[in-house]
Amino acid sequence: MSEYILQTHELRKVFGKQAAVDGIDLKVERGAIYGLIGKNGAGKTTTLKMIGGLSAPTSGSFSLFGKSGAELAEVRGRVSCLIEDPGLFGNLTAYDNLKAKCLCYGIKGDDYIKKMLELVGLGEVGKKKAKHFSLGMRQRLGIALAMVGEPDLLVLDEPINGLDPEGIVEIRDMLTRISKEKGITILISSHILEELSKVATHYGIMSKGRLVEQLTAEELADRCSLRIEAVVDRPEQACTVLDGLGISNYKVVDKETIYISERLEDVAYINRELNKAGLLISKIAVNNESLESYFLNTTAD
Amino acid sequence: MLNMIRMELYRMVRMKSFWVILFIVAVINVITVSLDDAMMSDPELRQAIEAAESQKDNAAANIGMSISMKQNEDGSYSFLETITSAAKGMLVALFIGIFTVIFATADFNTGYIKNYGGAVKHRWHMVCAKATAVIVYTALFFAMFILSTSLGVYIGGHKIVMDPAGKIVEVLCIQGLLHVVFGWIIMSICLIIRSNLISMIITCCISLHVFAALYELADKGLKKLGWKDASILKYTVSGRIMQYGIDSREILGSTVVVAVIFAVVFCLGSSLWLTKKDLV
Repeated sequence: MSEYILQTHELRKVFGKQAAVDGIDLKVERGAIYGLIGKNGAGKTTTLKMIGGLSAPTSGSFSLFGKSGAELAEVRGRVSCLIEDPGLFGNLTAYDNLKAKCLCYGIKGDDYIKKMLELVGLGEVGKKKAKHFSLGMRQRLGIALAMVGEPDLLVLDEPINGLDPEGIVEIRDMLTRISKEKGITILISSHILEELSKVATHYGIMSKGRLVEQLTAEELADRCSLRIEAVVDRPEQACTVLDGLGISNYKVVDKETIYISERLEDVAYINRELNKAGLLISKIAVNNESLESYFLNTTAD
Repeated sequence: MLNMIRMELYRMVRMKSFWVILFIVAVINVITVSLDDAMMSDPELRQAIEAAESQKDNAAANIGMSISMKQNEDGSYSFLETITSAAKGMLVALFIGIFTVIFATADFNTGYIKNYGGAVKHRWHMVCAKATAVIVYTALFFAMFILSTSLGVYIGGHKIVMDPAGKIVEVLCIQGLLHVVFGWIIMSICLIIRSNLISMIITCCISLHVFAALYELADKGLKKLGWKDASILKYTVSGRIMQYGIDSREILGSTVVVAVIFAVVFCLGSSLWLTKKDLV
């Protein structure tokens, strides 16, 4: 049985009359890299703020490491986060920014700070003040700050924002490595879906404050896999034909589209049988759905 | 909490404003103290200062800052008078307030709070850590002030009469306590409203006696209601800072009570506020 280190129950956050997060039930397994996907304003950041302890839910609850309510305070120190843009003291160096957090966490030793800087590729940054950092460097330092104290749950909000392609690959590899080697569970939000798909093991799709769908990477791959897409004038009659052909893995998507996910090599045969039944076929082809179009379809109004 | 205090102290001494404010105040203090004798020996200037002093006594409420060191008849200065004149004139409070605003809001304004705020077990620890940093800053500020005043006295060649040690300890401790509490009030305001600008305006309004005008207005109202010797300023920390000097032994107890009440109310208030409100 899977162990969930984070579970939310009807989690809700309201600002004025607007529900930014509207009763979500999120489940994150230990060791997972959970990708939270959603358009701008979907409620991702607000959700992460609540989980990171920066913001209190209006209603609903959540448990971390099996603790909830007043007991949450006991495990707060095991969660670390990088929310929105990195919070840095501009007049301090990368070393000083890290040192301040290390002191707060009771971590001693310069070696630890140097190791953290090297881990995110800022080992050679020297005395340069954080206010003179590029966006990418700030992002790396933000990740290093989030990693201080070896948290069990790392909450990262759009961590690859502003990084160059090389930086994206480095951070992606780093996240995969720390998840595997140190068993750190990562909850990560991003709008760069293709990038998220390269690291995430689980997904949560948010739209308008609600969690529309939760699925594993395998399930998502299945849904975005190859299939026959047929556009016919009478889908209900087409279903009878497909049943007659022994095809059961199909889905009527709208009033004229059917997705058939088996016997892909028999597309010509299926076409002929549908024709024989007197159906008007305006399109039939083998296609696959991109992650992006799957996301857009799922979050469509 | 001890770790959080370490963090606050570390970032405090790493702040540029920490050193800049100390340096500027030290330089101003050395110059003003060393020139004070020269100013007082100029008959025209002395007359003008004395006229301003007498006007101040008559005015109902004065806005602005007034610092003057009283000279003994033999031309010497009391050590305590030299040290506390700027404190009583709210100059020390003004600079402690300015630094506190910059310091207390820095982690909120930069977003650094997001790095550790969520992991804090009890949010009142954050208030305690910042309050400790304010104590350390006030102590350092007073130490710097005594040193720069001494240097000013030395450069100006003033004659200094040493006050009894017990009196020095008493006045410095009470003024120190009042300034710490003043810093805590400003810190609490910063944590509650989280705005540099408004907090800075409030600091200046208190230090430059703008609020004293409001107190005066309230006093008039209270007098009409029947409280004949109403004086709100007496029950404020800033009022006590202006009042407490060499011969203030009789108000020692009430001054401590005022300081403790303000400290408890503001620190408790900001702790509760931080506990109830979102950090970002």
